[in-house]
Amino acid sequence: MDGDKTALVEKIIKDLNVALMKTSQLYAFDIVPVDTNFRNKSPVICLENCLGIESWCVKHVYFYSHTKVMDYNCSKGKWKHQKVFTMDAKRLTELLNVALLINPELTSFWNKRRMLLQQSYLNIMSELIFSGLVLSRKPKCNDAFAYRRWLIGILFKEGVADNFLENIINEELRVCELAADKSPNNYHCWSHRSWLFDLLRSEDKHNNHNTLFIKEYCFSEKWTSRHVSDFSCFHYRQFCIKNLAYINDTFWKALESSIDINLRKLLVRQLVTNLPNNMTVEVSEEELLSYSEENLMNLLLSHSAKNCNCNVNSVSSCRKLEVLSYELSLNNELIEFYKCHETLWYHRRFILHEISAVIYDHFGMVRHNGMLMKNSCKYCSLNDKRQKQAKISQYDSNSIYGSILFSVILNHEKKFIKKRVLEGDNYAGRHEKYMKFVEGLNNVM
Amino acid sequence: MVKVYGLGVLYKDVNSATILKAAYDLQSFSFFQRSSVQEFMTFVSRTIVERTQPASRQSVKEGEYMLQVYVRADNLAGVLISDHEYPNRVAHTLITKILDEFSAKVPAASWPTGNETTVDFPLLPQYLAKYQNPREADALTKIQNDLDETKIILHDTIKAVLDRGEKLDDLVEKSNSLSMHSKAFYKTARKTNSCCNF
Repeated sequence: MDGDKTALVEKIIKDLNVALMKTSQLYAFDIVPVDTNFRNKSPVICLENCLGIESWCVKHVYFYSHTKVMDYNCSKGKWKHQKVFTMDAKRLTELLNVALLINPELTSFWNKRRMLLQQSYLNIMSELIFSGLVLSRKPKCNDAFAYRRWLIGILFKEGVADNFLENIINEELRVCELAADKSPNNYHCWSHRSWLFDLLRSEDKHNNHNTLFIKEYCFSEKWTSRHVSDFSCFHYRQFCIKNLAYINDTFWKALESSIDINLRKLLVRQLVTNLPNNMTVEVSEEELLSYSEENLMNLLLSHSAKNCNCNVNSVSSCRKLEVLSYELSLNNELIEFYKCHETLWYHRRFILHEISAVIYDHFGMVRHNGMLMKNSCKYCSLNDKRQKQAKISQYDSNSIYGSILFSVILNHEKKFIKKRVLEGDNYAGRHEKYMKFVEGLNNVM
Repeated sequence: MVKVYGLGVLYKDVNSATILKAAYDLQSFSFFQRSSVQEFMTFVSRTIVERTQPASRQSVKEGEYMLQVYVRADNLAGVLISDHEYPNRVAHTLITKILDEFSAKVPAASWPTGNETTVDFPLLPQYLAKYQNPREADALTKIQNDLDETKIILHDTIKAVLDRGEKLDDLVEKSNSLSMHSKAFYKTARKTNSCCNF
């Protein structure tokens, strides 16, 4: 590279870093397509807190900074051990900034930043801003998400004040939302989001993470209803549904008021409208509404066939059912409105799988390799070794498949599938096959 | 994603089309792209209206976008630009509704000479915001079934709509309404879209 060009590239690198330093409110970076440098002006543009560079210089600047970083630090195994000196650190950061903004998929370069941070040449907050900037252009960059996870991990280890933590959580959620909005099926972004909540739960630093779970549950409902072919966000929705299992009585009430729907009423309505004709149950909707959780579960599933005498937690299974039946009704609406979307049908599979898991669980069973097996009791670790034959008797399976809840669900699915088939939705037939051969309901459907 | 990017009302003259009013939602594009994207949406709307027969509806897929066009018998046209998930039926009912309201408000005599500054029809941005969630909007207005019997013609690519021998690349190159910047943007977009990104 000749002298003139080197000077030019150095100037651009300097300009870019000055822009990075000067404005702390930057929220987006992009490469602006400009073919030639006809204006003879600096290609670094900073407008309304957005940073851009013109595309003609990208090739030169990237090549230059990449080689420099590699030359400085990678020659002959020095990469790992080298101690960075203050002078070098500043220069190195500048080069890394440029190289990573242009091409963020360079894990070694991110590691270099980690090293600089550990030697306190960089600080966590500005690094969060920088990686957010990278994500604004490449919302699917997993290296940037991984770097954020590493940074937040450090913050948690050091311990943070509550209101500061609140800010961090909000900022993560904001970054995730932007990334999800920018590119559909953004797996990394949604798994980052669920990582954050797993962390909060495990650290238990944030005492009211239940409130956050409820907020996320509502958020994911809105999001999924507008992104009907994005399975990554539906997967996150499933994560949120599973999280509801951990919330207690007070928060259960908060949940109901925040989605503004009486879940019990909805469940009962679905039960009543789908009762099979040959069922000899004579209960009105009002009567069902007045039942306690325990009575309702007993009616729906009759008595459990467990070997031990432990109490079944019918309140929690009843709540699970309520949430799942709400989910099922949402799914019905979405499938009917946005016809023929595979993702919606996959989500339906999840819902039905979970409902059957609740039923099996009630009977002390578990499905393993396509077979129903007796499960050891969760509460007393009574592991009846006498019953080596894990296969279950005809009697047990009859009581499962004969239960009211099971017939209601099957009836509901059959009706729905039939209606969709009539409207020419190919996925409905596939759904039926799934129910028969994957959920193992071939004999009863 | 279910999203409407743009809504436009146009007038189809003998061999060209003019924009009478348009509204865009470009928040999901990066700041530096927005002006080019908007220029392109205008350009494509005009191109497609020019190539649609009066009294017909078309839905055209192009890349990750979907263009919905309705040209009425009286040469007033509506265009809606959305993504693939946006239900066609809702899009076309919305266009019909907007055109009806437009013709009630703006006298037909002023259509051939009108342009974006002279026409007074401030409702478009409202509709654009409201119809971002088609399920709620549809339920509110209850307009499900009053879509007339005009058949919607579906095209898988914009090539099918252009006249024989025409290419979008050439049209872009020739166009006077697109800035240098936007043309460069179009070329890079073509390049990046050609390889798959995961």
